[in-house]
Amino acid sequence: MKLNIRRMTGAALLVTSAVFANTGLAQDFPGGNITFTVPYPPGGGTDIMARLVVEKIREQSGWTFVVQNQPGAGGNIGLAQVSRSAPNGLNIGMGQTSNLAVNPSLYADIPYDPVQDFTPLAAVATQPMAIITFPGSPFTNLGDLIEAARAKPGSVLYGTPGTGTVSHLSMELLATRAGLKLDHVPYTGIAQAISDVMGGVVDIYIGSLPSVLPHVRAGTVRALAVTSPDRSSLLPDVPTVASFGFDGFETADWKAIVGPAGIPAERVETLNAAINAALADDSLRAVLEAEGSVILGGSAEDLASFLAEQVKLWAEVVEASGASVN
Amino acid sequence: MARRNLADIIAGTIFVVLGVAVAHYAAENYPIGTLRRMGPGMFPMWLGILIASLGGLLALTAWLRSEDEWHMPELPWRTVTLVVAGVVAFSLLVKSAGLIPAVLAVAGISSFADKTVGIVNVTLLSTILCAIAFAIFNLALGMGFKLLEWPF
Amino acid sequence: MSFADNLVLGLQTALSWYNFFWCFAGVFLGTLLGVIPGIGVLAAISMLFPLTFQLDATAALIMLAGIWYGTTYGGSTAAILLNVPGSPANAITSLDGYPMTRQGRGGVALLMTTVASFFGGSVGIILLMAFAGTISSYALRFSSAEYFSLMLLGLVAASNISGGSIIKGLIMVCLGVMFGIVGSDIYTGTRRFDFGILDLADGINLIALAMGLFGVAEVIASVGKVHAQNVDPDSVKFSAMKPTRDDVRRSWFPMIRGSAVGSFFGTLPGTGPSIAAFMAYAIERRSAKEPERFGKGAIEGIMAPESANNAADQTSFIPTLALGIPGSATMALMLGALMIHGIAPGPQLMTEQPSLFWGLVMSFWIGNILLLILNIPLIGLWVRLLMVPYQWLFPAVLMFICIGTYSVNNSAFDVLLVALFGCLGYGLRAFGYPAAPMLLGFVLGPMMEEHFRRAMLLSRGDLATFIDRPISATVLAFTAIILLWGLKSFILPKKKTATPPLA
Repeated sequence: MKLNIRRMTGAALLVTSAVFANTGLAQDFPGGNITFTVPYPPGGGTDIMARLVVEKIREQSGWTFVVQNQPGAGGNIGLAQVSRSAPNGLNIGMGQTSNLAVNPSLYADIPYDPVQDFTPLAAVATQPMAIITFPGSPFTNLGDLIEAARAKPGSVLYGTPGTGTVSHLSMELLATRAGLKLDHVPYTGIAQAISDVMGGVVDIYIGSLPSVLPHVRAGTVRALAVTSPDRSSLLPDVPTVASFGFDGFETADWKAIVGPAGIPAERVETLNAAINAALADDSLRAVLEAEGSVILGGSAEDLASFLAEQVKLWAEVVEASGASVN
Repeated sequence: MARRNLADIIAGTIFVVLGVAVAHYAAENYPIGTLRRMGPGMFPMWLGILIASLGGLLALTAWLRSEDEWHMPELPWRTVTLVVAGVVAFSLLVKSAGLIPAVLAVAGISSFADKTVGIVNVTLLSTILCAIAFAIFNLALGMGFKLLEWPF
Repeated sequence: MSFADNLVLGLQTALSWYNFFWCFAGVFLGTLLGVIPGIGVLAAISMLFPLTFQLDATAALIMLAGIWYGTTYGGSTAAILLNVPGSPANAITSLDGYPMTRQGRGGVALLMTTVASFFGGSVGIILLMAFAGTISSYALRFSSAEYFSLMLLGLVAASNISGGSIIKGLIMVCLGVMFGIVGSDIYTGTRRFDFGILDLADGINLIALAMGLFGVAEVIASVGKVHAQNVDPDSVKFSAMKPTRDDVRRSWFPMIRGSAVGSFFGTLPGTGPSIAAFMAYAIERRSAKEPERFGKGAIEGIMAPESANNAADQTSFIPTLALGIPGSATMALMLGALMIHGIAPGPQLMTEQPSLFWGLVMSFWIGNILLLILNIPLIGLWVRLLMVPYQWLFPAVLMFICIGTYSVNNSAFDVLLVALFGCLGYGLRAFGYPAAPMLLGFVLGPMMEEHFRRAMLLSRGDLATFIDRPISATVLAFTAIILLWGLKSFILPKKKTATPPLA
């Protein structure tokens, strides 16, 4: 009962928030430490991005942050913790494609509803997937690969950083659209996988651009395609998946900052402005862009509609690919 | 009869039951798959079978071989209970009530596992340990544990 | 640039006051944190990770690396003195280290493990310096078939790690594998044996298992039995640290073999100091003339694992820095520190960032020398811990175990698991079942499954892949030899003992 009232007030405030758009940074907002939950262990991609952004906000606004890593269950435990915390703007966290959009369709027992239980604050950045192969591979481009897989179904082995990851589902989406049958070989991260691609044990590997970029640059592996709608500025010679006849093909691993449902609108505004200000900083942009990310930013409303879209998209992908868990 | 190693026979039987249970649970609940594409159930199923076989072997060799008489070891129930209670209390308190109550609980409860301690010493020790925990984890390492929180 | 130029550049970088200070800070903190049971190296590095924002990339990496190998130096202290390992990588050291303490030789054990750590570390650094550039091709030949064969070798070699009945040891290995299965299956995402508990989705935490089995179980076993008066005050004097001539003589080959084993496992992604230490111990015990001395304070039993885990610490930087392939979560964290500073970690790091690479490598020398200098005087201090009445000491140990385990994942559930595994560990010990093989099964089992299944996927269900691939075949042949050798020594002495009554 109490919860419902809180939610309704929250929704009402969200509606009226448009009126107060562009109120600028309220420096006096926090009134305490902001606990920033990262639902992954320290040192991973999400953790580094979260810490870089938080550090920049801290530098610009003077607010104090406590970054707390709460790993577990593919990010579900940490995000569930954020969704249960007090909606005062002092408890926020970083979610991403997997735990905000994919897992709800993939897992039966996810402990939150990605749309109902969170207040979207701002999108941070997005990273395309890249398909790579070993330098001596017979596949010179994605077309060759598709042809080979068509000619002999099940002959192409593809590696991913894990089952149910955005990389895995991206490849399944491609297979569904091309009418192919590819054999999935999941790895537990990049280390063993990249070594197997370099050694030609597995035909291709698909992973986020930042994770494979250093190896592509060093020439130890060759990139066949990226999953973004446009070519990456870092790999201008690598075509998009869409350009091989899959119009509109786009998958990405994006990251966004969210809080529990029901954060008052003016606090959402303040936090959104602070995140956008940090993302506008040149030095931060340089670091993120150099690793292969594209900075997003934007309003909280943008993120809300983006989230709803993404939840729908991945539900379709999960259903079409037949991938399910439990 | 009494000379047979009863402990190994009982333990072996327990492992047989455990192994069969694991294998059965895995086979019932998880797909077995094929050798090429093994399901999540195959490895645990074979592991269960292996545990059961080893347990059977243990019981059998104990049955065939008479060994020195064996006595049930005396279990220190008081120590087990208090040490476990202390650790469990820490686990229950650390998130909801904070670091200080959790440290007081684990040190305070487990200390009584030793029969010779008095209440004054335990209080003193628990307080010192709180200070040490605070100094190491919050001051030196900056881990930002919540020290005290009212869950109500 | 020539090798000599690189060395000079590296030394200049590592010896700058700024970098030297952070190297010192890293190894100092690392060795202290290593002493505290429950604080694993990953947790320690994670805690200090935010500091890297304030430092430049080289200093940040030097400091984090210092914590990494520093904890391994310190980790043996509690294992030897209290029978409570500082981290899972040191669990095996307690098998012979603690008996040494009970014999009043704790100081000797601590001194010798410090020497072993330094020796192992040095071998690792030399390999890193000499082969970082060329070693890449060898690591690439290891795919899942090779890993599976290697894991099998590990389990076979280690099945008798704690002496006693082989069947009991094997059962413990299997139970460890069983606990390792809990959690999400990496191939399908199915959560196995989680009984609906979300906290078990990622499986049982290694630190929780190790701290329960070894830490809490040891406390339960010792309360009321260990008294401070048992410690001879003479044994804490500095002179009591002096090893005998026999100790030194016995230590050389275990140290060399341990360093070799450690260096090898360090370079393979996925394996690391823990597996290296177990393997080194197992090999030492297998090749010993009097294996019955092990578990009763044999100095070989502490020298081999402690040189192995330190060698592995250093060589694990080879794939990380030369190939950009982080072999463990800790190594991924190191690369993370580079990414924060906008440096893309990858195969070109050595050529594009020579001062960073060689500065880091040379800082390993400085760090290891610092650790040697730091640890020897500290031994006297640590040994004095034994004079603290146990009734004061054990609540502190329990507190550190609780906080340390909690800090790994901020998980109260993990602390509950510590209590559970504490009971289990004590029960096993009371009934004569060794806990060390269980820990090894827990670490190796899930990797065995992962690699076996992947090898099957890659070979499309053809079991011959394990024999067709030359490295895998060699390792399997080696495993078979050890197995036969073990069976032979299992059967032969029995005949000997069986004959006298007849004669």
